[in-house]
Amino acid sequence: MIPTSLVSAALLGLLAVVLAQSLLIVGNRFVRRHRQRRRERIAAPVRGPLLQLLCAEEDEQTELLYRLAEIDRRTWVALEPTLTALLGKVAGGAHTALVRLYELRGAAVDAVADLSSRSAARRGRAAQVLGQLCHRPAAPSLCRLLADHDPEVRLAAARALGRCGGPESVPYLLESLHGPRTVPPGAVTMALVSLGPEVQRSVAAGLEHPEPLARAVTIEVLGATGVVSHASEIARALREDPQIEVRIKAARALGRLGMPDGLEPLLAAVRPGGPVALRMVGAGALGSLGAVAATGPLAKLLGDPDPHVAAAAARALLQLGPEGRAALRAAADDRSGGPAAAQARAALAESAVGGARHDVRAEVAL
Amino acid sequence: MAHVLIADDDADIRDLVAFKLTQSGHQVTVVEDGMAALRAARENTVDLALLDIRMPGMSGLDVCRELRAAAETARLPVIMITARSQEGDVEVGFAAGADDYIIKPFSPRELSSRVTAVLNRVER
Amino acid sequence: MSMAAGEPWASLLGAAHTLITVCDSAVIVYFVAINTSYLVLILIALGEFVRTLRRAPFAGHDEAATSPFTPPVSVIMPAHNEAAGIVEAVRAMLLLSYPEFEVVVVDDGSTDGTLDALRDAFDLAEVEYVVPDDVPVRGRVTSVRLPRGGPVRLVVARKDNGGKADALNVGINLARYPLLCMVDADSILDSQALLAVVKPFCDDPLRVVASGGVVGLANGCTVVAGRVAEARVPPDLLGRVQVVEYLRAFLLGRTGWSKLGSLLIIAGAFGLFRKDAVVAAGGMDPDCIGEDAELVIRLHKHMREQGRDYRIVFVAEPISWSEAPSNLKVLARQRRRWHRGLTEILLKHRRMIGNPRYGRIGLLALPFYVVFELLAPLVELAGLVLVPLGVLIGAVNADFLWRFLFAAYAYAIVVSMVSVGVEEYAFHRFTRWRDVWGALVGVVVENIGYRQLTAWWRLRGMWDALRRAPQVWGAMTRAGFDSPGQVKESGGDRV
Repeated sequence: MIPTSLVSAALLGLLAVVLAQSLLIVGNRFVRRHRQRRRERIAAPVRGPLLQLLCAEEDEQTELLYRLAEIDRRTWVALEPTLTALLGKVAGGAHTALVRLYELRGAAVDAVADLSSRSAARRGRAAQVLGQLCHRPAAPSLCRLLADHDPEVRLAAARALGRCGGPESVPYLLESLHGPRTVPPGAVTMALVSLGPEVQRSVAAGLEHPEPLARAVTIEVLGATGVVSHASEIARALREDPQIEVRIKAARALGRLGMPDGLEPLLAAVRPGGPVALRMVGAGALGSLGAVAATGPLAKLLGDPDPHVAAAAARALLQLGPEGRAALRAAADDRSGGPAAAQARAALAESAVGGARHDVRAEVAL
Repeated sequence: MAHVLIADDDADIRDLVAFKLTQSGHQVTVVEDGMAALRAARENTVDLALLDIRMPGMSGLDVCRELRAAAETARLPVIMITARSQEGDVEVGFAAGADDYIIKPFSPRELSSRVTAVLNRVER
Repeated sequence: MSMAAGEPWASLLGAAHTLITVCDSAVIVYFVAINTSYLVLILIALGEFVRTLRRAPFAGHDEAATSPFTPPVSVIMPAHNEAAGIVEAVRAMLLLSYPEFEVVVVDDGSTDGTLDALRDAFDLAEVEYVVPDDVPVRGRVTSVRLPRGGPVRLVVARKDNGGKADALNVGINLARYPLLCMVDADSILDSQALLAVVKPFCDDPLRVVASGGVVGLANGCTVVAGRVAEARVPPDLLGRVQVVEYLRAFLLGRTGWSKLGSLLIIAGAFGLFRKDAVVAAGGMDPDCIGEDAELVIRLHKHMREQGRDYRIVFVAEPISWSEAPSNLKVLARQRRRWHRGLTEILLKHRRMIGNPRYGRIGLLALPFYVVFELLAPLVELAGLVLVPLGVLIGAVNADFLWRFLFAAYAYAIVVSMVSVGVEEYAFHRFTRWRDVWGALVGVVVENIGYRQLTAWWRLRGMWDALRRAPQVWGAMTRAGFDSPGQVKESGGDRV
């Protein structure tokens, strides 16, 4: 058995630990409060000029800029949280003023240097700030950061590239979708969309990418940015791509783009016998497309054995103007209609109340 | 010129907007949450309310609805501050009775112009 | 002659002696093991917090809040006789900071005008609706209502009374988005809650099928318009003890499990699930009291049987809150129900326990729960009886015993203190000094008195499950959030 003396020692030791912990908890609080108050105290005198800078006209900014750029390091460090917070909250002249302040201070260059820091937190913070500054020269370093071994840093880099990247960043973003160190597809999609219409030609190269995820993201981006010039390729993806998720994305994109060459592939996609998820999204896309010629096929879908497809078809008909409504009413009045009539009535009732539940989403993964 | 009420839980935005509007010559009352905003709107002679749509506690929407429901504040002009690309926010804001909205991130100068525009509209 | 007559008694006594010594040693070992394992879990959690905190400045919540590529969510709220607080609760849900989501309220045959309250507040109109049957539902859906005009994303359905799980199943069928957030009608969520709990899905969309959020104690907190404006440790002893318990077992314990890839329980008060995974697993089980935990275990089972690479994670941020029992009677009912639920679930899935086919769940998590959660009350109470008995018959040295007892309790207190310390360091949601004091008081009382009490209630719950007692849901009266001072009797669902 365990000797009593050992137990006594353990008891005393544990009591000491309890005491130490209490002191630690209390002490931690003191330290944190003190640090916060100290930061506020140091930053207080420059807060006024900072606000002045943000609200000033272009020509008045210069003097304030130089005054703020010359504050000592301690004050700058205390002010930095406020600055980074404001960077994301202001636009227009105020944002330009902040960017100029960072540049005058050399903080933008420091941030680029921090991108190679050993601390992941520093790399991530630097990426965040560079994105908010829309600092174009940082783009190549940020592209390299897309392969960082910390996933949060990769995310921050992708977000930053969305704001300060260019066409040359697009291939890196698409490559970051797969491999040992990936960036989540949602972030890549957002970044590519944020880069704007100028880069969409580079984005379109992803339509032929061997990885299905890259193809899916490309299609989603093109659909979201409304780039109609590639509608025919997206239609081909809907018809022929081996991956179901890519086809679903293509269906949705064709609906958003609203081009006539989307009609045929979508009608083919909703035919019975195909995958349910694709048929559902395809039916919804026919509604967004707005082609009246889809009224007949959609009306036939009202009686589909899968209730989700039928419901999507009913709500799509609501978006096809008077012909769609007429088809719905005809189906609703049909005495022998069964489930088709019920779906039609449901859609009409929702519309009458004022809020049709469009866009039932099928996929979440890609 | 006018007495503007600012309600936002974000200290930076509060200070910034207060500074700009004071610079533009308005008198400013600043509060941190919805309940305080309601109280301030009822007790003082406020000419315009700038409300953040999302605040912990009573949101800007709740405040706007309450203001519209009471007789003495029913005509009070309200500008909602909403977040970028939350379209639903804009619709819901107008449905709650807002007169205009401004999207974050915003330019302080643009905000000031909107405030002036809404005040002028009301005067007419 | 008398010697020979006394022999069997002596050997019997000797055997009893040995037995009790062995049992006592077992109890001691058990006690040390359970506290050490909690300590390990807490330290794992601490590592995770430090990591997340360092990366918080560039977590990108603002961008996610406005990105059109953040996946849309259907919030499902089952409600039964919640007329007092339902409108407030739904309003608070509708104001969550999230780009695209809807709220699906399922009125489970309420008799107090819950539906009327909602209809008046949101101007609901009944519509004819074809309810899909993705998961089986027992009760009949009697009506579906949508708000008139306006862009309010709300659906209110009424069904015949059938329990929370059945109501959730109706919600699952009605939901139109691929992610389902299941909440209670009295869950209080921070405005960022959906963003926080959806982050794992955004970061790893191909694998994550469920994520759970921490549920903290709403007792004593200042709740305004459905949000916790100020987190506070409640002034009453029971509240303080529960705060510490929640910190240790839920905030920290579950984070630790999640990091080990073995999360078994996601609170019914706040959890996010992929709709296709839930539908494939069959929806909620209406016959189980702990339907939320049962779903998670069934998801594990289903995913592993399918051979799919998946993850179920825990989001360790104090973002959702629930009112906990404030008197002993209600607390007893709650713990009895929880433990009954646990027993039922473990019985239902007993084939998974110790089964290598189910990987870490079968080999690590489930056995741990059986030994250290299910049987804990048994061992604790046995210890309370056997150890004094051992002293009485001289099997255990009294001197040694009281020292050891104190050391054991001190160890348990150390573990609870670490939880409080980690919360203080990582989140510091409690701002007043009174809160720190309350937490420290809670730490001491939790281990000396409280755990023994709950052990008795838990034992009764286990017995209920074993003899298949009829399910009694208990009266749940709600005073609503507008009057925070009023005492609310709350059965409370599993956290």
